[in-house]
Amino acid sequence: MQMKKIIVSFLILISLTGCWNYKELNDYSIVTGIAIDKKDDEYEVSVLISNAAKSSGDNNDNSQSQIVVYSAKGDSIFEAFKNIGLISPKEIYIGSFSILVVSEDVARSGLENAVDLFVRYTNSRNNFYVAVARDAKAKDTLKIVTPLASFPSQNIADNLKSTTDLQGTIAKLSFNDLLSILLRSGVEPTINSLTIVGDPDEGEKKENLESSEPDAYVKLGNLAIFKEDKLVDWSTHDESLGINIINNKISEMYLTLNYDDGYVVVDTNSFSTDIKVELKDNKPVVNINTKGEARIIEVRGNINLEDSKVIEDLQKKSNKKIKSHINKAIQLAIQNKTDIFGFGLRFYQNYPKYYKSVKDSWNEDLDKVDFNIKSNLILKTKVTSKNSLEEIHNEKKDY
Amino acid sequence: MKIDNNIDTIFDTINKMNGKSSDIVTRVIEKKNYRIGYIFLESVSSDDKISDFLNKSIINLDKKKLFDSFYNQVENSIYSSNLKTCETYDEMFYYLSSGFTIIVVDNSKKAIVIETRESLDRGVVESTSETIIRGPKDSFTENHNKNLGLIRKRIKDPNLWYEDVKVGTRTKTKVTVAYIKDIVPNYKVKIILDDLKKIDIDAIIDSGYIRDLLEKKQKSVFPKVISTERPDQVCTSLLNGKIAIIVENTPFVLILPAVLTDFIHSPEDYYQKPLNMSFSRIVRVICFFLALITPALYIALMTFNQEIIPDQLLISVAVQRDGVPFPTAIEVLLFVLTFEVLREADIHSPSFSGSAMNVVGALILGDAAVAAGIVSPIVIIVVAATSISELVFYDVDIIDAIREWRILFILAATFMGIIGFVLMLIVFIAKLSSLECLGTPYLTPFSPLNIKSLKDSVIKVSTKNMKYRPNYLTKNTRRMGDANEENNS
Repeated sequence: MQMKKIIVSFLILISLTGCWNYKELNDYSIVTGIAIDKKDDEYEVSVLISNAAKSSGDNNDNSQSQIVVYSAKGDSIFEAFKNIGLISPKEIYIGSFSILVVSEDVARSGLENAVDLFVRYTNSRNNFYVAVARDAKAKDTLKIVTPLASFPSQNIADNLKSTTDLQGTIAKLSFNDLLSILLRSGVEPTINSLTIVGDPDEGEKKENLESSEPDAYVKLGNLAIFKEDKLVDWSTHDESLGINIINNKISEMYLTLNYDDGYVVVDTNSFSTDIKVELKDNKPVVNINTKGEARIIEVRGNINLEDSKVIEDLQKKSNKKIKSHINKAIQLAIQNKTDIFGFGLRFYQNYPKYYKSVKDSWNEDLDKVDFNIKSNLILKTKVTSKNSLEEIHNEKKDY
Repeated sequence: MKIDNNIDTIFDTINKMNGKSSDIVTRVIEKKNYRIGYIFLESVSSDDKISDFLNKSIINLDKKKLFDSFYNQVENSIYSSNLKTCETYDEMFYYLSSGFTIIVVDNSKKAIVIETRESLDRGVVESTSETIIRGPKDSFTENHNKNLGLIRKRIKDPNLWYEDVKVGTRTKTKVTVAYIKDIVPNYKVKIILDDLKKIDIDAIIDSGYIRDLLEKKQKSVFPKVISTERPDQVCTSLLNGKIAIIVENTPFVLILPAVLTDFIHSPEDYYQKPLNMSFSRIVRVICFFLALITPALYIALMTFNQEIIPDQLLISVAVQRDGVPFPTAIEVLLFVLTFEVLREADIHSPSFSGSAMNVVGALILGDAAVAAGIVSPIVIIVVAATSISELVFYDVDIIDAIREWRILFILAATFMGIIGFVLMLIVFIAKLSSLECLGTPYLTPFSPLNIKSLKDSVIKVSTKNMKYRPNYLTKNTRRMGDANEENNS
């Protein structure tokens, strides 16, 4: 009897909450991507909404083109969001979106203002990716439809995710990681850029989905270099590679080595970087050691791969190349006076007293740091054919 | 009421007691110097047996006076192996209804009772409610003696004891408590026997009555006794130190005490490879939770905590939900109810209408409901997954228990989302851990933790390694000799 009373009172209790926080999924416009542009002093926020309504129905048209991009302006990001509410028939739901694209202007004027909302807004996940639009409006990157992904936002996010492991220059950056970089001293962010190839006005049309060679597409670009939360420079391909090598974000990359009149391409795997910092006579020293294995993946020209000297030579060349990438990246950082590698953070962790004394001028004095760069890439020669096909062909002719 | 000492008066009294029912047969055989009367109910007695054994022996009754009374002479000349005596009319009528024939002679205060039962059962057939692939196929029947025999022939141990209690003032149903004397602690048997003797009810038709009447203060939808129609399961349980209650006229035998893990077990688990069966049991545990919480979790995620769902899934769910007029909770409840209606109809419908119902259930309710936009396809998936999951349990009581708790979970999730769901989960676990049967906590061996018994809980180790009986049931735990280990090593 008592149990009955408890159960009854419990049921009454839970029903008295009056469906706290209750919201049906149909009441939401689900945002899958957000773009932030800046014009004068006003923010223009664009949201990519998956249009659930059009997708259902008898025609088996899958949800590829059922997207809509709304944008609105406001003095603050939140105001812009609220202004989108004036356009959208349903409540804007930013609980789970996959990508945040900011324009170059926004990035140059400071990211912290732009992302502050997402830190405070409790209903959103923090695992979306962040990218900077280069030479394009951030809004346009969300508009370009592609036949291979359901939504443009999905396209960019998937692209970032899959190429991070396969291409040296790309390193996905989730909002959580960005926040932890922004909030720490001694490390500055680098964010991947997005460029639009082709005419963005054509890219948003449905024809872009139907043609086998899309008129416009979004391409991942090199890294943008930040100082504190402001964009200061764009890196080149080699510099991006160097940055990612130092930040240990690469497991696979390729190196093209010129050899005689031909070239050899090596592909690395299990590549890793180890950084150790130390103080020598109160002078900061950074030791960068990379190691890994590589194999020959493409050969052109008259190169005798059976010769161990050639292999040794190639190994030297690849290590030299890696070192040069690293050097280029460090030069870029010194030039822009921004510690994008987090060396400062490492000094803070290992020599806190020293770091505190140099903290304020750390970025400026980056050129006073000694860098010892060592690369230990081992070239494995267990490949299917030791010489290039061209050479084998010529040998056969001789018989 | 003591019986009279005159054949005619006895017959009259019996006829009067039973309102001259049409199945009463009486006959008086008169010889020169004595009269013998017998009475039986033709509805429950076998005419053949009576003619073969009774008539012949009466006719061949030895005329030499070897015995001091005529009654004794008759008693010792009847060709029957099962012979009893009775002294009161109540007793007499109990025997008559059980298919016995009663022989009365003049000037005696006792009547002779011999067994002439007609076999009124369907014989030992394959179990219909608990089917297994590998293992004994026989099942209990409505015949009490056969049921006891099915157990006895499996355990040929003098320590297997049967104790009878007659329950029901009108039905006088035989209830047998079976246990193995040196395994089961005495006090448990005593508690059950005392409780059975205290029962004051007019009728016991099925073992379900006994189960209800034995249940003490703690009310719960979760079954605290196993009811099974498989003799092999009863024997396994008896040997583990449990007690079986066999009720006359029903194939369902009660086994107690039961713990929650008993319901994820199947008798088959002990006959197949232990690794495979551990896998099956893990599947059943997953199904237990699937059946219990899937709809509630779905509602909580859909209407309160959407941010938990990955974005792509969220969109595809949103697409499916578009255009559905009802709130998610109503939608789920509607379909859960529909399934329950289908299940209820399926149980009671004769087999010839089963296929028609399949069409209605699968096509009309499933497909057409989606096409008409009444429910979203994902709700059908959720309800279907739930319903299929609950069907892996072979005990109908646990299925019903899961069903009732599922509705509570749905209600909690409807009003408070994930928080309500977690609250209900706490209540659920608290409730389960508060249950006990004959001093055995319901969540044994997990709470309280009993490491030795974990060997036969969610996983099952090989029979070779199960050397001991569960020690929460008995102190006499040794099951296997050490010699066995040496042979196998």
